Amino acid sequence: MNILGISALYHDSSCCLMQDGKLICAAQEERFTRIKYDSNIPKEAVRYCLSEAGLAIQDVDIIAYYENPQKKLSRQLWMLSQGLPFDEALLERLDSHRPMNEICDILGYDGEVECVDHHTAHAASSFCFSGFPEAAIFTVDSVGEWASTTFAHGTGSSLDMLGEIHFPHSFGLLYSTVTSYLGFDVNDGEYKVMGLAPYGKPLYTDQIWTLILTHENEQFALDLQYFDFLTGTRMYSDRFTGLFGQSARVETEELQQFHMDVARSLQVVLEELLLVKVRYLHEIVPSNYLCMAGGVALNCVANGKILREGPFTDLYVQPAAGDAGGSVGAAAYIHASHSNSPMNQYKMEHAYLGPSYSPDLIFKLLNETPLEFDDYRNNFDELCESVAKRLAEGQIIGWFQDRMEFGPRALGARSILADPRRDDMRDKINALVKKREAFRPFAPAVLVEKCNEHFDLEYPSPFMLLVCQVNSSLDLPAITHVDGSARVQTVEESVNPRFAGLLHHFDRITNCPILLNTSFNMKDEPIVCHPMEAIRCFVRSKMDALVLQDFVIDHNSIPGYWTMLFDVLNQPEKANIDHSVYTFF
Amino acid sequence: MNKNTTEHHLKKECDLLAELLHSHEDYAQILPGLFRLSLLQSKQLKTTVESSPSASQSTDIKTKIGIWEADSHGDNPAFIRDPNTDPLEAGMWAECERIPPKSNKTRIVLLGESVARGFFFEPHFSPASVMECILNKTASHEYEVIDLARSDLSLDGLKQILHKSLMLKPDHIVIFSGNNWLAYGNAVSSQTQALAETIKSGHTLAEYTQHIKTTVCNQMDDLLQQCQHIQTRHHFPVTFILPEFNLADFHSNTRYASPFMESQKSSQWRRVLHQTETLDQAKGFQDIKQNVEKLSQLDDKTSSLPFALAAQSALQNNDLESARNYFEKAKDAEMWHCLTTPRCFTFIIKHMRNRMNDLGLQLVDLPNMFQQLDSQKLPGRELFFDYCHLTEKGIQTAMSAAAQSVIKSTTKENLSFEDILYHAPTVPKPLKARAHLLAASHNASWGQPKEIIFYHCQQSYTENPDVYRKLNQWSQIAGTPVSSYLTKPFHQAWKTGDLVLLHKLATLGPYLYKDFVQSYEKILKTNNHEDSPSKIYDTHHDVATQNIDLLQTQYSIRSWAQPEAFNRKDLGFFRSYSMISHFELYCSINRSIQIEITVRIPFSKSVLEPLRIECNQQLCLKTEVTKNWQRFNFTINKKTVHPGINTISIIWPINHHDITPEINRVKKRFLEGQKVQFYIPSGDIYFFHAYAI
Repeated sequence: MNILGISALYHDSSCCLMQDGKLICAAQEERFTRIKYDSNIPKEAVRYCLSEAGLAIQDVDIIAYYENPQKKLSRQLWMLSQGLPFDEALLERLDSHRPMNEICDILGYDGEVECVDHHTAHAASSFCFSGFPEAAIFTVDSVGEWASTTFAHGTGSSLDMLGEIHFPHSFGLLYSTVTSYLGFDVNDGEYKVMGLAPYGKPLYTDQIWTLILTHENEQFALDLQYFDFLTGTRMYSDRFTGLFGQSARVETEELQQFHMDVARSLQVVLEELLLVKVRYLHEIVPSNYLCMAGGVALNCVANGKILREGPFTDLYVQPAAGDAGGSVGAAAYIHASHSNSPMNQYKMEHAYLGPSYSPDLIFKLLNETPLEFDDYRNNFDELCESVAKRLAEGQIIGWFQDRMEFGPRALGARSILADPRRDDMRDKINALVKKREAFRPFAPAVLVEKCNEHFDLEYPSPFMLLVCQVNSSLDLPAITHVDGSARVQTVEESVNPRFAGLLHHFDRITNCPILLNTSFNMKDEPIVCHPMEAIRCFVRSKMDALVLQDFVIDHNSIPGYWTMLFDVLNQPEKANIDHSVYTFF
Repeated sequence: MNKNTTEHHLKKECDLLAELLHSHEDYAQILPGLFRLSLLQSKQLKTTVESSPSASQSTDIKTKIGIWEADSHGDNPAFIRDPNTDPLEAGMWAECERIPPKSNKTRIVLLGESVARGFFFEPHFSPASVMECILNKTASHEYEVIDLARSDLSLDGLKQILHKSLMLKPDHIVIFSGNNWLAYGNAVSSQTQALAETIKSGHTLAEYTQHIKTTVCNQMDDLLQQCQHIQTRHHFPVTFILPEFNLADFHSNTRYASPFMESQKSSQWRRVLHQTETLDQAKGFQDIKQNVEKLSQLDDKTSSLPFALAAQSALQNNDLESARNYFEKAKDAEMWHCLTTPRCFTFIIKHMRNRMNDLGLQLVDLPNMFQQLDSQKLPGRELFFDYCHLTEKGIQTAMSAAAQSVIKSTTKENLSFEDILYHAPTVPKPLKARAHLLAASHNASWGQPKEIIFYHCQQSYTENPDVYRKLNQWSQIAGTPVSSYLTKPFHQAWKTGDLVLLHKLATLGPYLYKDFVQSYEKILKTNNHEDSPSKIYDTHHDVATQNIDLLQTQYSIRSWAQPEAFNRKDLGFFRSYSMISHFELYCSINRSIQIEITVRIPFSKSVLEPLRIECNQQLCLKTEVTKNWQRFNFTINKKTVHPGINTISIIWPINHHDITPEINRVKKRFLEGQKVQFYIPSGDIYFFHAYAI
């Protein structure tokens, strides 16, 4: 049975293909259209998924859609009844037939479409790929239809939703509101706030707690007088600003200690809140295993704390835990319900589910350009040796290998790599390569077998979704956050032999089995997908070398005028999602 | 009832209402009514939100004209090109770094669209520079002409820039505009809404066209009143140049009946059209005229093709007046859709002529002028590079007439047109060659006939035989699958070549440039050059060596004027709106080719005939198709395939469409404010691959 899973029309749309319960491929639409967080029906991702499996659209048996449009409409109508400012542009979003119509009109699909509730899709996206025999499931985001948080139990045969917190009471919206107050975009800046938090002190936890009316057990309620997202055009109300005693930061304003302290306070309260919920969940589902999904599950600092201090012994967070992953969850859920096969049939071992490009194709493309390059086809060891040497010399390397990752993290397929031991590396990459805020931290990728020697992490973290303390004897300033923590990716030879190979070589040269690993993109752009996009990004950033599969291009071979031309010609496409309160309408 | 219970009830009511609405197909359309009746307690956006952009706009109005910013707050600032302007936007305007403060030179401001920028010549030779040169050579004092023309300028945009241009303290404003007022999305904002209403209420396209005319006339009146107001308040004249259209080379891109035509009428229309096309153009003028009458009755004069056929026949019979008449009807027939090439519709010309005199504004009437200058010919390629953009002669004529008007009003001198024209600057041969080369490529991109593409290629070669070197560079760039800027030939051209030309060529056409390349190849062969532009296909497009996806733009789109090109980005598959879809397939040697195709006939109630697929006009597959996707595999025999570009044609079956779903869809999309195609699809293709066997 061929099932296409689709998430779309909110933000970060994506598509996946499941064949007889096996996840064949998955990709976000933004990677093809180059529009960050592209929310449109993922027609390019659909075409990719079908071509990967050699299928045409008529070969698809079911499309699984990640949301229930009618339930969502109910919540939207309720929002309007509360006085949400209305304009004609909202009509499109109020059309509950739109997903079905667009699937039919734009994809040319006239078969069966089945909708899965948003949080059920999230829950399935985690549990169905966890490999756990059974598990408690915790989903947390801004909002789906009505639910913003759910508590569930997954077994081999079923996925039982046991409780929900309803909109407008939402952990995600609490986080987004503070994000907005701190001058970052809603649905984009949340992870920046998480990165900012360690610079601050938890001086404003009282104020954050004031925003919350109840939080015991299954309960959670925001004090809505501090929030304006139901009736105004901002996330926070004047009372909110009054509570913190400072007006909201505008994007261009310099970050002050106050903003860092607020970010830290928010993070501290969020972690505490999530622990309360997780403990409650364990009471009703006394399992060893916990599965998490939803945008808040991308808060890897909180995940680490849940694992360390919570009642569960094992945690699984799917690599695309946000809305993009909804497509995978919807497809898995529909597969299980149609085939009567176990929910948890497969374990997602890796996130390399996107397109790949053969060495021959890349060779042809490179030959069209004036770029000089070294060819390491059939000589992988030498390639690793050469790249490891460059890294050890302090070079910043674009690393483009095999199938692209699914989800927001670069995990060694579309990565920018550097030596984590260098003092200046973080500032250099932030300023010159990524061209983004100076406070943003970088993550380490480490050989799984050597992880314990350097990080306080007892579990593998293949998807870079756990934060722990750095306890290495090495000095690792480029990947160690200001509070001594790091967001670790563990790399296994059997899962990603090429990335592991490079780490081994780097370890051999330097006695450091760790590399700084950040996503292969620049500010406001999606991660690169195609080799030509990698070249464009390489030219515009100040990376020292680009490794395209088996080929190495040195920065010196870039024609001088390219940088100037590319700055003019390669402006990022404007995101088509809304960063205002309407983002979740 | 406590608050929680009330809340619970309200949510239940929302659930119920959502269920009720969701079960109704068109409910989104009744929602605005619900809001208006306050059944849902929504409120309007807070004024603070709305006021912030307009506040910033008001600052913008004070300090910026087009892409130039005032360098000071004084009364007479210089205006400097804003370096932060989006490169695409910057490319729309003249390449001028600084507009100086007003001096004692007589200042003329030229406004208008791409015609006024001198498309194909700019930045080297522009109407503004020609007018300035003429004025300074002929008149008794010094002039400067400020070029404020912008490509793709809409009627609304013109009004805005007209208002802003006053900051430059002009002594005379010349407006050369009218081609874009109903083209390519520049139509009045109510147009889409009006079409939706027309379809909804069962009215015809002719009625809709009338509505559009009225709306645009009202907007023109508004513009003209602004001009009159400027003239009276600021005491300087405004001259308007009315554009003309290349009638003699008119080519209809239409190969389909009007949309929304009821299917029986549509079948009848196609039959009569086929009959008309088979008539002898020279001998059958009377029969052609009669058939065109029938076709016009069927389609409410909303298709240009019948008129174009009649006009060609009239030309063959040396009946110039009828030819002009039919060509003008052809030019006007498709004003209802947004894919026509830019043009100044006859109703615009007539309305302007009527109103200009009443308002005391000066008019340079190019349609009349061109006719007076050569009454034995229709305006054609001597004056136009394409449908509306002027050649050297066209620009010289238009700007001499404009200069005559300016001199008369500023110095009261009454110089003869011929005397002024004598002083018009000329274009150096290499620049002419370059412009013809661009025109050839542009005409090819817009689906113009091979003959006109060949003409411009030939002119280009005649003016400067060296131009073929540029073409070789281009062909190496155009043939590669990577962006032009990343290629080796571009790298070589960086130091030696004309990068602007290469850039323009590289970004003009989406397809295999068949007619363009073949035209140039013929010219090079005739002139004993060994280079062959068709080499561009060898490495990356040859089906003999690789699997070709025929749905890729370069194989499936021949012209930007095809509706298929317009909708390309919106759909996850290829949708055809033509009776016949053509695909180009390059094969370097004689090989049999295997084709895999997945097709369907959307919205069909009953399909009246089979689908046919031909290669180079030889039938390869004839099969029944339905509205469901079906996959077909077949082989094209190597005898049918010839070395070079082969054309694979899909002849879609005439079928009885159930057009209701399409009408509903279009209507709904319009009401949602989205861009939608106006056509009934003839067929969809999901997958179309070719490989040699």
